[in-house]
Order: sequence, then structure tokens, then C-alpha cells
Amino acid sequence: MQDEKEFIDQLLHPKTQNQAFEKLIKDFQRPLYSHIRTIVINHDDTDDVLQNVFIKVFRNLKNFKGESKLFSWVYRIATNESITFINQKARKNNISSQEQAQKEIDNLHADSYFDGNAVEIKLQKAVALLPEKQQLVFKMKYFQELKYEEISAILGTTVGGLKASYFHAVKKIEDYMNAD
Amino acid sequence: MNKFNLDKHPTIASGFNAPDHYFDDLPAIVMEKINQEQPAKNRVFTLTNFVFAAAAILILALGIPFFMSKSVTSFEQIDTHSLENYLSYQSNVSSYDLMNLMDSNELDALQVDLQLEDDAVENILITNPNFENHITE
Repeated sequence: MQDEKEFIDQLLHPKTQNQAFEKLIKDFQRPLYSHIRTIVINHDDTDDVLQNVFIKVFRNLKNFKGESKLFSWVYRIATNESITFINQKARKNNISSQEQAQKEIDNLHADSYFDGNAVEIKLQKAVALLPEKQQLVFKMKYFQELKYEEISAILGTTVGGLKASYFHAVKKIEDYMNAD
Repeated sequence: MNKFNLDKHPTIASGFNAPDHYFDDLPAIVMEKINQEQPAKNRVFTLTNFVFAAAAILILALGIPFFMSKSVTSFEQIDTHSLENYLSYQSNVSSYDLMNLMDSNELDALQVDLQLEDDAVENILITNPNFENHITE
């Protein structure tokens, strides 16, 4: 906790800010990339969103009051930016967000930065059919391997609610995987 | 044939990967964009700046009576969607912050008198596949 407080002080102090922020980017870029990629699916969109997330984090550092962990705050911004991005893309294409996500999944076989096998593609398709909240919780728990307490701090949902979401998501995914 | 069981199946990867050297290059790319946004330090006062400043002051002086005569955008004119987006991005606004803006009558109207055990709540959530439609956070 003290380490995080010192780090936040460095992020806020003009003399140390740039160096500290570069460290923040290096520490968070891989987990954030994975998190955003599971939501927006293709690499180019992920790259755009990730860069925007870091810029947004930088701009709003002065508003970070330390009420949550830095990790939770940054992840929350990344989650919101990703969902907003997919919703905007869907609106431009005059389709729903779910249809947009499914469209991205259908294009995975042609994606240079996807090397999944048939089971991995089928799982992605199953997840894309879930309601938005269940999708998000499943992706954060299963692919990101975040703890329920961490997800709760990011999404603002109770641990009990998250467990229920995950339970229903897994049921639906298993039904889909067993369907053929 | 064995039924697919996610918990018993070896963890399935997402399949996503990033281009080579992507993470090596990203920090510099982001810092470049951030530094481009920041105002230049030690900017010398120029005639152009003076002209722009003078023009801005003139416009303000002429515009004050005009703007004062227009009605100020009231809170009620802000659409709900914009307000929700604002609250979502200002991530330091918590439920407690919102509660502090409400008076006791409004808070009383929100109160629901329930005596529920955690186990009972979890059971209800597990047996109702569409529970998210009914609960608020």
C-alpha cells in the first residue's frame, strides 16, 4: 500500500510524472491489452483503445483520489473505453453490440493475430452469445484469471452477483459446446 | 461421449496474440502522444499571441451581454445518457457521493426493508438465469 502511495505521488509530481507514467504503461500494458482484446476482439481496435486508455489515465491522474487501488481504477477505465468502442462501432454499422461482437468473432479465422484452434474459436463464439454483463464477468474471470474481489472493485458489482453471473455464463457455454 | 465441462476441461486460451515488438514500442508511442498534448514550456510571448489574446478579450467583452441574456443550460436539459456517461468516466464518483447529494426524503424512498441471509440471496441469484434484469448495483 505504501509502495502504491509513493508511486501515485510520483505520478502526480511534475518532476517525476513522465518517468513514473512510463513505468505504469510497462506494468499495465500486457494485462490491459489482453483485457481490451477479449472485448473488442481484433488487434488494431485493441491498439487504438489501449492507447486511448493510457492517455485518458494520464489526463485524469489528478482526479484519482486513491479510494480504490490504481489497478482497479485503470482497469475500470479500460473496461468502459472498450465497451464504448464496441457500442460505437455497432452503431456505425447499424447493428447491435452483440451482433458486432459476433461479426468480429466470425472474422477470427482470417485474423493474423489470432492463433486459436477449433475449440478456442468455438469458445469465443459461445462467449459472444452471452448477455453483455455475463460476457464481461466470464472474460475477466476465465481469460484474465482475476479474483472475484478484483472484478468487484472494477465493475462495482457484489461478489455474490459476480459468482451468479459466472455460474450462468458457464452453464450457457457448456450447453453451446455440447450442442454439436 | 464425454460432455464438455468447463471446470474439468484444461484451460482454453483466448487465442489472441500481439505483433512482435508491440509491447517494446508501445510505451514510447503513448508518451509521444501525451507529450504532444502538453503545452510547450518556456513559450516566448509573440505578437501573434498578443493579437489572439486581444481578440479573445474583445469577443468576451462584446459577448457577455449576449450570453447573459440566454438561458443557462439547466440540469434538466442534460439528457440522461450524457449524464450517465459523465458519471461513468468520472470514476471517483461513488454511490456514497451520489447519496450525499440526496435529501432524507429521497433516501427514504430508496430504502427497502429486507432481512435476507447471504446464502438465500446467492440461491435466488443462481436459480434465476435472468437475475441481472431485476437487480441494481
